Formats: sequence, C-alpha cells, structure tokens
Amino acid sequence: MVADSINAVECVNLGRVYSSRSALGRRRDVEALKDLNLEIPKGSVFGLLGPNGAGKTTTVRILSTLLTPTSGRARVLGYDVEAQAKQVRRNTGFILGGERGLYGRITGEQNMHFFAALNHINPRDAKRRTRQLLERVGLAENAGMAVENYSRGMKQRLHIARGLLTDPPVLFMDEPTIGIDPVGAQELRNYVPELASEGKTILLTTHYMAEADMLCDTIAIIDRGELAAVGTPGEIKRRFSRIGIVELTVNRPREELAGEILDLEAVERVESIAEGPFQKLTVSLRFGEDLTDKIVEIVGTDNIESLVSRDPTLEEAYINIIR
Amino acid sequence: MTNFFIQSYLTYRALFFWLNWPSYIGNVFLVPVLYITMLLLTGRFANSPLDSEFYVLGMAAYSTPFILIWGITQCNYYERVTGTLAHVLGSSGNRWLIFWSKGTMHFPNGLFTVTSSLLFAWAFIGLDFTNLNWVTLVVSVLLFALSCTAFSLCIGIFAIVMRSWLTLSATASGLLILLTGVVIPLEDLPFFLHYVGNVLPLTNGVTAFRAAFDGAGPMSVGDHLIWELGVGISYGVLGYLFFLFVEADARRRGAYDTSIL
Ligand SMILES: Nc1ncnc2c1ncn2[C@@H]1O[C@H](COP(=O)(O)OP(=O)(O)OP(=O)(O)O)[C@@H](O)[C@H]1O
Ligand SMILES: [Mg+2]
Repeated sequence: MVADSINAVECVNLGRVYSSRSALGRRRDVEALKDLNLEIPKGSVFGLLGPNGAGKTTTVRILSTLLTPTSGRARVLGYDVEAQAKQVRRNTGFILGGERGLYGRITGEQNMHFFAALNHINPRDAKRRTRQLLERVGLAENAGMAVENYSRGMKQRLHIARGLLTDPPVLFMDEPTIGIDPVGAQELRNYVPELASEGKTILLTTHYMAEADMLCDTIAIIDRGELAAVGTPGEIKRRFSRIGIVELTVNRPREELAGEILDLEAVERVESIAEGPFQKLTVSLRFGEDLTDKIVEIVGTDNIESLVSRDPTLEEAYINIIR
Repeated sequence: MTNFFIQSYLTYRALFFWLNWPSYIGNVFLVPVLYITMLLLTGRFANSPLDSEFYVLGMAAYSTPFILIWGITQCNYYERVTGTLAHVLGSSGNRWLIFWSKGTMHFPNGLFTVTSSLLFAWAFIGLDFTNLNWVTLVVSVLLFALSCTAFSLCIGIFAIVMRSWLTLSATASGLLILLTGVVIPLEDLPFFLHYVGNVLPLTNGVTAFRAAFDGAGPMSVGDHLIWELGVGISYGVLGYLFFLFVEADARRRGAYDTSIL
C-alpha cells in the first residue's frame, strides 16, 4: 500500500450524489460533491470552509466511512475508504458533534467505556484513557452524570473525548466548537495545535473564520460541492480578496482629504472618522496596487501620524470567493 | 470477551427503555400472568376440550418470546433514532459481536419470565410438577430462549430499517402466538400454516417443554430439541447477514440520519 505517502488524506475526483424519493416516488438527486480533489499532508491541520450545504459534512462522512462516494475515490493513510473501510476506521476518529449520537440514559463515563469496548480497547486501558480524556475536555466532574442531563456544550466535549478514545493518527472534526461558549471554545481550540504537535493529522470544518485562520495550516473553501480555493490562510487572503487596505492617521484633519484620495486611480472606497484630535482614514484599494507614495503626497509627510498597509481578513477573502 | 459483556451491558442499559421498575416488573412478571389467566378463563368459558395445562404451559413458554421481541426491537430502534448507530458502525467494532451484544442481556429476561410464570401456575393454578422431567424442562427452555433471542435480533434489524418497533413487535409476537402451537394445536391449523410453524422459534421447543411435564426424557424429544436449536442458529446467521446488508446499504444511501432508509 502507499501508506508511506506524505499525504494522510487524498481525494481524487470525489463525488457524491444523494438520491431520495418523494412520497409519489419521484426521484430527486442532489449532487453534494463534484469532482473534489484534496490532499492533506500528514501532521497538518486542514480547514474545510464553505457555506451551508457546500458539502463539508458529506466530505467528513465519506472520509470516516459512514458514506460511500458515488464517484472518484478517497484514501486515508493510503487505505481506500470504500474497499478498506476497516483499516480506515482503525486509524481515524471522527467528531460529528450535535445533540445526537450519544447514549442519554447512561453516564458520560459509561458512554466512553462502551465505545472503548467496541473498539477492542482492553478494560484497564479503557478506564485510564476515559479518565484522562474526560479530564482533558473538562468533564471529569460530570463523568458520573447521565448524558441526557448534559448541556449542549458538555455533549460537544464528550463527542470530542470519544473521538480521541482510540488515539487515532487522523482526526475528522465537523464543526467542533459549535454550541460551546467562547471560553470553552477557546479551550477546545487549544487542543488542536496540541494534537497536531503529537503528529496527528486533523481535518476540521468550521464557519468561524478566525478559528480557521488561527488553527489551520491549509484551508480549502468549497462551494456547492466544488473546490473554490485552497492554500494557506495567508495565500487565500492575498489571492482571493481583490482589495488591499491602507489605514492612516492624520495629525491635522482636513475634510477634503477623503475625496482627494478617492480620486486616485485604483482606490475603491475611503472611510474617514475622527479619532480625538486626529483623523483616521481607511482606504480600500484594488489588490496588488501600491498607492502609499501617492497617498503620502496628498496628505503630506509631516502630517502623517501613522500609516499601515494590511491584508484583508480571511472573512473578507471568503466572502469574495463565495460571491 | 470482557469487552463483549461490557458492550452488551452498556448497550442494554442505554437502550432498553423498559429498564425501570414499573416497566420491568410489568412486562417481565405481570404480563405473562395476565395472559395465562386470560387464556385459562377463555378456555374454560369456551368449553375447550383441551385441558387447562395445555394453555398454562403454552402461555408460560410464550412469555419468553414476548419479552425478547419487544425488548430487543426497541433497543435496535432507539439505536437508530438516537443517532448512535452511525458511531457504532463507524467504529472498528466486530460486527458479529455488535449483532449479538444487542441480545445478551435480554436472554436472561426470557428465562426469568418463563420461570416466574411457572411459579405462578404452581402456586395459584395448581400446575402439576409430579411427573416433571427437569432435564428436559431446562434444556427446552434454554433452547427456545436462545432461538427466540436470535429471532428477535433478526426482527430487530427490521426495526432499524423501518424506524418502528411497536408495529413490528406486535406483528411478530402475534405471528408466534398463532403459529407456534402455544394456544392453537398445530394439527388444527390449515395445512400450509403447519409448515410455517416449523420455521418459527418456540414451536418445537414448546412441544418438548410440554412433554417434560409428562415425564418425557430429553432423548425422547431429541428431534424437537435439535430442530429448535437449528431454527435458532438459522435466525442468528440470517439476522447477521441481514445486518451486514443493511449496513452496506445505509453507507451507499447515506441513510443513517434520514427518516426513511
Ligand atoms: N442524507 C442526505 N440525503 C439527501 N441529501 C443530503 C443528505 N445529506 C446532505 N444532503 C444534501 O447535500 C448537500 C451538502 O450537505 P452537507 O451536509 O454536506 O453540507 P455542509 O457543508 O456540511 O453544510 P452545513 O454548513 O450546513 O453543515 C446539501 O444540499 C444537503 O441538502
Ligand atoms: Mg455540516
């Protein structure tokens, strides 16, 4: 097998069509993924972004063998998700999150023990790992409580602990921080680099741009089942937002400044606000243009308190891609 | 092996919704008593030529598939509707063990219920134990409890597919009461239905079970006992194959979380 390839996950022309029938027997097909090509290097954190219905969950389900592709193929650590599902399952953990998928009538600890037994972990190791993991996700105190009495965030934590139970080299997380309060979400985000430093490969989907920006080495944006962009967060920001931003603070405010800068070629928008005795100007310009000199000329060198050129945020880039 | 029991125990605790005192006592101990009493009275009222022992023993034996079918199908049903099925099938768990683990803890219930039914019949109806051959009794009960467990596991897979357990359990337990000879002697069934009884669990087991009370040794009813075992194994294998098929089909269709499989 190509198990020693540098990629932990490879999708080649991956496609998935869902067929459903209406009550009258009319067939309806939804093409959730179209010829998706992805490569996730071992040990990296890969973010999958896209609007609702883009096919993120579908991708995660295919990679965790819950769903078969209808075309193309996908490999995890060199194992085909369809033909070698068993090996894939042994080497991956998946965290689907949400309210479902846990046994409500038994405790968090018992849920862990059940899945440990299912995964052939011997009972002594199972106890130890359960204790460690519940501690790690902050559920140690509620380990003995029936899961139906857990809050949404507690369930989410239990999902994560379960996903880590087998200590898998590859982890798939579908919106891991959804439903968790900001402090808790921050805490959980801290695990991602921690897990990555243990050499795990992580694929996560998220709607939080800041989360993706902070955690991921590589980001792929998919839209309607197709790959729209892939690269490091920095690359995506630069390549796909067709604007650059210059922010400057002016010593002696002058109302006409905004208009004068806007007249420059390649400037798309200028915002002007008063900041105490100063005037703050935010200039959006076409990407790739460097107008610093011209702006300085208009404002006057001695009149500039500060000037920074910055990249747009990932969010600004994302919106540009999806539109 | 330990893991198999942990798995069996926790899946039972997690999914058997009758596992609280009122439901458990009601279904394992009171329902059979009611059935026995009801049939006894109906039999007397209708001036049935069969003696009351026929009904009492038939219904005592029938209490086993009753609790097994209703218990096991509900566990399979809840596994699907709570969304845990995806996690169970997404694990590297052994499918053969997953299939049987759904029945392990129900099996003893099948034994408890027939035992308590017999005790009730002895204490209140005067069931005669004087000629009883204990070996035949124990072997026949163990065998029909096993075959009924396997049968229920098989029906349980339908509960996953159909997302329903009430209708299924009612149908399956209705079939057994009609066709296994627990209340209607098989000879009285129209020709082809007689054959159906032979591929259902309990039919042969209950014949041996009744014979035990007439003092028959295990050898003299050996063919019935072996047949009962064969039926049990067949449903076990059939159910398991069906389970594998349902799993593959669900992966193909993406149906773990939708309402119609
Ligand atoms: N089981 C299913 N049967 C039919 N169609 C489905 C099924 N699951 C998903 N779809 C459809 O496939 C498409 C992709 O869905 P998917 O859940 O992968 O999106 P997503 O990117 O995870 O969206 P979200 O951000 O809302 O979670 C959607 O159009 C959805 O309606
Ligand atoms: Mg999703």
